[in-house]
Amino acid sequence: MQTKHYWQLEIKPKSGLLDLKLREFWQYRDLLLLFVRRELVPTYKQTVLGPLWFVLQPLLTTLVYSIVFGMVARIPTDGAPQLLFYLPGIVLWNFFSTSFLKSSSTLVANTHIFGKVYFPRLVIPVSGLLASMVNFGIQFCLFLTIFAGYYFTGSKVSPSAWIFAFPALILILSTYSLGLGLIVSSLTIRYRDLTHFLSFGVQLLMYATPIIYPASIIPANYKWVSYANPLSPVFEAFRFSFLGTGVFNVPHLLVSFVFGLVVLFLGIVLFNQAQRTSIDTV
Amino acid sequence: MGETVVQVENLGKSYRLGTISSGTLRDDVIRFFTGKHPELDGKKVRNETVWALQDLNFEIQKGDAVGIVGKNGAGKSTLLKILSRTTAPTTGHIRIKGKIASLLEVGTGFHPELTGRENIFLNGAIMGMTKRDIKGKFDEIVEFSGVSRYIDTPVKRYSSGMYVRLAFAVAAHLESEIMIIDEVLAVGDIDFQKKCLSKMSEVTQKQGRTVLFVSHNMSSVKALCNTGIFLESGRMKLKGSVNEVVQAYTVANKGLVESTELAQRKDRSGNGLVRVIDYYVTDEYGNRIETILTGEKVTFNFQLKTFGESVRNVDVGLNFFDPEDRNMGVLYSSYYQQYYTAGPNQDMLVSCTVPKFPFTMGNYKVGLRITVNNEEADWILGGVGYINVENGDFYGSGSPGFSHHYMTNFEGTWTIDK
Repeated sequence: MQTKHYWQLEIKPKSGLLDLKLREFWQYRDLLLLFVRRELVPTYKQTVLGPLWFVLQPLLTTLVYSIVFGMVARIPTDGAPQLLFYLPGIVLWNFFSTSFLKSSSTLVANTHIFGKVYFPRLVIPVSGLLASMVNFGIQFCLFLTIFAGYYFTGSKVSPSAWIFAFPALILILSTYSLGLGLIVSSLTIRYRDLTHFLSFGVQLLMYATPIIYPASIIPANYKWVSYANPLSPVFEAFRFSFLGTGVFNVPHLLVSFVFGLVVLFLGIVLFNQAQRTSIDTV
Repeated sequence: MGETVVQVENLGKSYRLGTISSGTLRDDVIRFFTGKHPELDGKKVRNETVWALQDLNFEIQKGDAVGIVGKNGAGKSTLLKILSRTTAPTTGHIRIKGKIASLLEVGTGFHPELTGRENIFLNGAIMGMTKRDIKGKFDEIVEFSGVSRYIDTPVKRYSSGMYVRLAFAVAAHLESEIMIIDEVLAVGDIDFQKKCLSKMSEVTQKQGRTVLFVSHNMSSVKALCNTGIFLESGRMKLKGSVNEVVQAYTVANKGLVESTELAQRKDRSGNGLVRVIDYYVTDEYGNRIETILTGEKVTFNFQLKTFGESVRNVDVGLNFFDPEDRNMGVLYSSYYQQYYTAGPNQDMLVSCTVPKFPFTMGNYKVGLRITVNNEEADWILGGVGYINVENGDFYGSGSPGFSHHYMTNFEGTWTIDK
């Protein structure tokens, strides 16, 4: 019987650049959720305070920032209460930096598992992102509670309807944390020195983003730095929607989002190429 | 003739030796823009590519159980890696029909903090099962593993045996048409190994699944597989029935061990208080021999060496493996209440004389294990060497017996009463 063979799978040396394999990724959605769980559960098990750590950390950081940057360095907060000024920035930045660092270590940190079994590698960084989102959710609730406290005791905060746009802001940050993370992860296979630069780079980026200072105090001739940093409008917009300080610059956000999508696309393409033989070199 | 489910064409995989890429970003950027390799500028490019696999062509039919054998470095694991898609080939392609699952390790992705239940789901999903598949098989998996009492306990509290059993149980219930299995069977206790082996053969024989099995253990290859592939230096040396392949592998393997100096061998375990550094066989006149005649009086001599400390209660054990790696017999010095003592950095020659060598014609692997105070000091995994045995006059009567039908002779006295 000579029927035409149809092959379900072909293993080849090279894969198409634009073949993002998103359909296959979708087939592994159960695994994605299980990885998110694997990421989250151990952090809470066997700790006395459990999720409380996620709440304490930003609170303590806020306290330190209030003392160092607010009281000692006297960096203005655009009139917002210090706690409410620093906390959202810290919470958002935590989300960005943890998910970025997580995804950028994907190929190097998971060599063992990648060497043993195949599944779409993208599952790992995306699960890291989702886990960071959950942690962000907890910290965000903390912020909301404190915010509500200030709001109902009549403090000087003026939230706007833009509050409901915050998922969009998270989405923009996600495109960058995942996209940049994937790019870095693909490059670290060849250039291991990048890992040394990484934590330093993240810190630099933090100071280039209006977190401990409002964008309004940047001198006019350095404004371009703030504009060039696609993360700036996100932090400003987040603050504006809750506190009424800062700006909600929609065109700037849109540009940031589109550029973020480009970064993410580039990241996935690079990552898909790099993961094919990553276990040979790592 | 069956349906082809795996088709391998011109498959090759090369690795670059030494530093991968030029190493620095600067060089790569320069190379990208100028097309030149700055480090090698003006010099001849050295060929540092090593082919782990080359020109591999074969097809596997549905329902076949294929044993892949070969020495270390023959390309077995590279082939496995490519088949299981953990790395991409350099040339050629593989076409596969049906769902493929690889079992290069049991318990991939197990997290110690998660419970047995959670790990079953995680591990199953990593190996490509959906949540529904796992739910459907959950009870079966738990029952097979025999750890149902502890299923909601974090696996870090499991004994290593329980851990492995649970991990294997998930793997054994994978629903895939093609399974790629590495030597994971060598896990757990003897009972569990037997259970795994029977589960494996059930998978291939009853359910008609295709299995690719990589192993050093020729008897499990023979037990599980019907065809075989013999790899040598990255190329396919032979593809045929499992018996042909095992035979060819055994013959090719014979010279391997002898060629390496014992002292330099790396495939050893034990604490190293005492090590074997040389081994030879002598006949009753003290001449070194390569071939033993059945029934002959032979002496196995082992040059041992102690290292930093002096040792007491040294027990030396000699054993033989048949060509299918079955243990044919063990003899420790302690069986005769003999223990040895030696000072630090001392050489000693321990010999074992066998008055009538019992095994019949064939190649046997000689194993040696040394213990100090019942703790393993040295054990060479691949054996200290091979001996060639020819039929001799075991019975002292000139009768050769029917020695090609059995592997060992024994003495007896026949009498008759009327």
